[in-house]
Amino acid sequence: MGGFLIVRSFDGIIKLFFVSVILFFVLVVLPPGDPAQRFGGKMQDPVKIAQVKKDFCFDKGNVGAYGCFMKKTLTGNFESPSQGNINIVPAALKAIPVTFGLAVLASIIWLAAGIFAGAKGALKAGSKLDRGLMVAALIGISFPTAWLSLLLLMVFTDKIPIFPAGGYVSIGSDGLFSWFHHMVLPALTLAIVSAGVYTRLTRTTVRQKLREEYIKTAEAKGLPSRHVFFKHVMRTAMIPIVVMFGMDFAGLLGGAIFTETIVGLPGLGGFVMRGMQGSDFSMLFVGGLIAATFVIVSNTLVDLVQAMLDPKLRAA
Amino acid sequence: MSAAAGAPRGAAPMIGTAPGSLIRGRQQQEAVGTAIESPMQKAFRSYRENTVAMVALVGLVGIFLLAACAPIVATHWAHRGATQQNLAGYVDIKGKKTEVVDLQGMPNVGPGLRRSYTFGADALGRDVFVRALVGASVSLRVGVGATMICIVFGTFLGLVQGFYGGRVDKVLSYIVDVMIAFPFMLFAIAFSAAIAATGKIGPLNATSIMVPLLMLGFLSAFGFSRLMRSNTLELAEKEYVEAARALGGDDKRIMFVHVLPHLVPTIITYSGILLAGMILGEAGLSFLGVGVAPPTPSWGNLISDGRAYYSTAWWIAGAGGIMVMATVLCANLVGEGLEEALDPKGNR
Repeated sequence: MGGFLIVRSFDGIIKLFFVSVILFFVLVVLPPGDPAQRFGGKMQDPVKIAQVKKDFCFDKGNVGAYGCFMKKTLTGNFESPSQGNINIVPAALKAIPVTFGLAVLASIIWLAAGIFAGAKGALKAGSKLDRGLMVAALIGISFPTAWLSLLLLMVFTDKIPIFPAGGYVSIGSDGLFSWFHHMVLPALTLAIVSAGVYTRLTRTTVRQKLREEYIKTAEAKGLPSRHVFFKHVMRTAMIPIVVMFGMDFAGLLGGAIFTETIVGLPGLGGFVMRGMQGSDFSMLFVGGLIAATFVIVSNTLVDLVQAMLDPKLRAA
Repeated sequence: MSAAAGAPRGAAPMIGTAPGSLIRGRQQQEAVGTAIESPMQKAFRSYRENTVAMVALVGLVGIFLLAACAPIVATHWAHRGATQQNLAGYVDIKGKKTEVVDLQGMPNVGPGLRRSYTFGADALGRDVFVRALVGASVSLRVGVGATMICIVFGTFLGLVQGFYGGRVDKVLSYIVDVMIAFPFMLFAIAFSAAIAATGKIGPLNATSIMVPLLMLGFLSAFGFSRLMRSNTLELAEKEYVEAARALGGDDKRIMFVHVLPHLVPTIITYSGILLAGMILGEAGLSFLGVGVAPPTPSWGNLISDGRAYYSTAWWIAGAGGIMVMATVLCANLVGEGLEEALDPKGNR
């Protein structure tokens, strides 16, 4: 297992390198025009532009500039010239727990709802309950997240005002309940869409597993049905769910953009959006890199969990 | 969960079997059916017998027709263009003259059965109904175009990977892995910011609908190529590929004449689900302001327009949201129907 972990981490680092190159290419090399002017923001002062050119090593060619960018990011001192040379790395790091909390809360809701509904549907395949659950799941999947956000805001902050209309309270400053109170609505938005996906996925995999020979064997040798279901069916059925969950969770960390912008959460998505609205390319670079790191770390973790769950892979 | 799992011991092995009605239906047909059907005829019949899928198909065709009718509605029904503003105008509602946009600048006309402003007005006094229909043609163009690009590019990539294998496969798979690790929305935002800063990249104008179309199409192609790759890997080992090679067929011929046609059922099956994803993608991108450039209407732009008025003028975002939802629902159901009818995985 140790060797596996080392190989995967090394692989992740190489992937992260390529991702940073692509990000650099899209932001610096691809658009025509002077990159110093773009990164400098709205200022047109030639002295300042020359300073930006020197700070970001744009005068040393693309490779030199890339080195400069990575050095700035890795040392945690990325000064954004379009914001008067403020270091933006602390702001980006502060955004991580916000998004992380949102993603954890949302995924608890959708995993609980999705797996329960999917397993229930698979066990009662073809029944009215099953069909009802599938219709509900399909409707959940079809919602555009942005509109669902607006709908929930309208219902739960305006018509029946039980939740605050936005803003963020950290656990440290105002206690767990207040945090929860502010987070439920955005988490619910994310969870409704994803719960549909997981309901369908769970139903398909559980139904597949129920047809397997070893389930029949387990039943035949007289194991209690509850034991068969949890130890034999669900255990293997969890594998595709875990894989999917790893990808989705990582995606959320980098991309809960709709919910975060609508509700006004200062998370990573909001960070990147602020960068986009203020055309601050430094924020886009740092935010993008952090999000991609999450995706890659999460993929590596998924591989590990998968290896632990799957008896075939565990032996290897 | 425990209710079914705790059923009588004798019935327990039955929990995994398919619903009884389906099996019986097929047995009857086998007994009665004397005419021999081609696989294609069989697929068509299977699809026609699937009521839900047929209704969804009719719905999807209806939405496309509505989009095609948009110019007629704008000129002959509402007498109002999709981007025509009307800040100081009045409408007759139940005999009362009502401002389209009130003094505070809030949209004042809700949905109702009248010729203009059937779905209400937005903050600039534009007709939401006309915008929803014209937006349909924009959103569907983006959706269909992106789906096509995704299919062509993704299939080609997967085909090459699966067919050649070895080093080619390794390198391309790695590129695909890296591209999938890249959060899509972030890429879209970075790319749009880069385009917006300069106005254009190459022949691409920053305000063209080609920008979201190409972005959605190419970036989702990487995920799709994985599916095509695994299918090609299976197909490349079939006897007929070996036979074609023994007869002297070159790689290009085997790939496109012998392998590609067998990928078509899978491609058709996934096209519905891909279209649904692209429509949702367009809505998302436009909402963030990196998709279809305003004032061109699209469903995502409608949701974006309605954002500030989510509780007072819910109809603006609602029109976009409901259209997206209806289309995505229909496209998903059509995709499921196709999957059942074509059955590319041979599950039945």
